[in-house]
Amino acid sequence: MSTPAARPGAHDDRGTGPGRGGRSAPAWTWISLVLRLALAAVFLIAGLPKLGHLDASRRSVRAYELFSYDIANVIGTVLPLAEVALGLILLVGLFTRFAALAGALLLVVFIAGIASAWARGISIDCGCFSEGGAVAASQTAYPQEIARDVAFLAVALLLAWRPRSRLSADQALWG
Amino acid sequence: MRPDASHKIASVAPKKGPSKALIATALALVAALAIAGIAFLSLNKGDDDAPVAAGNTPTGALADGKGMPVYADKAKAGAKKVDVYFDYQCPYCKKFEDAQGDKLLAMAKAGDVKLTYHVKTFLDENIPGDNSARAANAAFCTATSGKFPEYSRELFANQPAEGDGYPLATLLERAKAVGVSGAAYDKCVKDDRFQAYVKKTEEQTNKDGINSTPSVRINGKDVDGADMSGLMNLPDSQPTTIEKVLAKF
Repeated sequence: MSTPAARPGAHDDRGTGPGRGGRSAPAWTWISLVLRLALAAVFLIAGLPKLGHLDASRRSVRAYELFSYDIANVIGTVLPLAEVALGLILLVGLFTRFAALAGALLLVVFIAGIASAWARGISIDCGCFSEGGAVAASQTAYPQEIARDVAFLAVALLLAWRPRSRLSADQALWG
Repeated sequence: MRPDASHKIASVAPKKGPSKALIATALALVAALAIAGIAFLSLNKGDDDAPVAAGNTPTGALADGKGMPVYADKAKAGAKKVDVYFDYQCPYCKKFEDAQGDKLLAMAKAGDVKLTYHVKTFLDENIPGDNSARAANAAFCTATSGKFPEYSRELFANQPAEGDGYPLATLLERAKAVGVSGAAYDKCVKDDRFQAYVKKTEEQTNKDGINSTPSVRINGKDVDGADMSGLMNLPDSQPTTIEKVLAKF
């Protein structure tokens, strides 16, 4: 690709750097592909098994004791569906920056929820990838759960920073 | 004259593609409708707000799934209220019952505590079949003969491995062991006579914030996780007794 200086007046090739809506270096599009598929896997693996066990998902949310019974049930029902929807658009790579930011937002909420359960001294499994709910105090794993979600959050933020990735619907539709 | 560069420029310009706003709107609409629809259907088939008819409430049980008091007439004035929540398929409930069940029953019989059992059935969601619900119904059927507490202990004492469930023959056999048998009892078990009450109990205990079993509340307050582990004699727990825990409330 020629440098912008060589073609003054040419169409918007000035924003060659990432993060300016321009083109990432080719290597990054491969890295972003890996990040995107990893994040898609996280949300699909978390959401899909819950679809067949929405009662358990609702109980997991109730166990956080953050919401009223009815609100917790709505969240416990909608959350797995949202996780799967997010996983799917990440998988095909559509609106990648938006999807990555939405994923990051969800992860921030999850981290806050787990931290709040930890701080209030209630003994639950986070219900992140399996059925949650009360567990014996010795069975809680709050630091590990938070560390895991922070790692996922880093992936989501990196992807939001450089959303252009290979083999994506974004690339096929809009180049 | 410069060569016409428009061709070249067009080839490096970003593809125009379909309108982003249009696709995003359509996708968001479809996703929102699908999620709302599935959520609505799933949430609506859950709770049934109709009260349980008096005739379908097990003998001695509180209305609308609020529990099965045992030896309620024996309770002395000022006896502490003990609520026990269990599921007949739950292995930890067996540990609790094995360790504390007889003692709690004896205390209730002596009038020292006001004991109420709440039979949950949520393990049916994850274990194929409806074994928790059928066992709960069979237990409520024994209440007609005044044998609910004995039958409960009998079921836990002979709890099948998790997943094996309670076949009809087992439920009837255990009833015979506590002196309950006959055509009326068999019919009650086979017809799932107290199905509505069983379902209501699960809903009521969920609303009361019981998210796991076994759970124990004394005078309306949860026994904490450490004491529950101690009451079940779990490894790496500080063993305790129901008397010591009662003294804290």
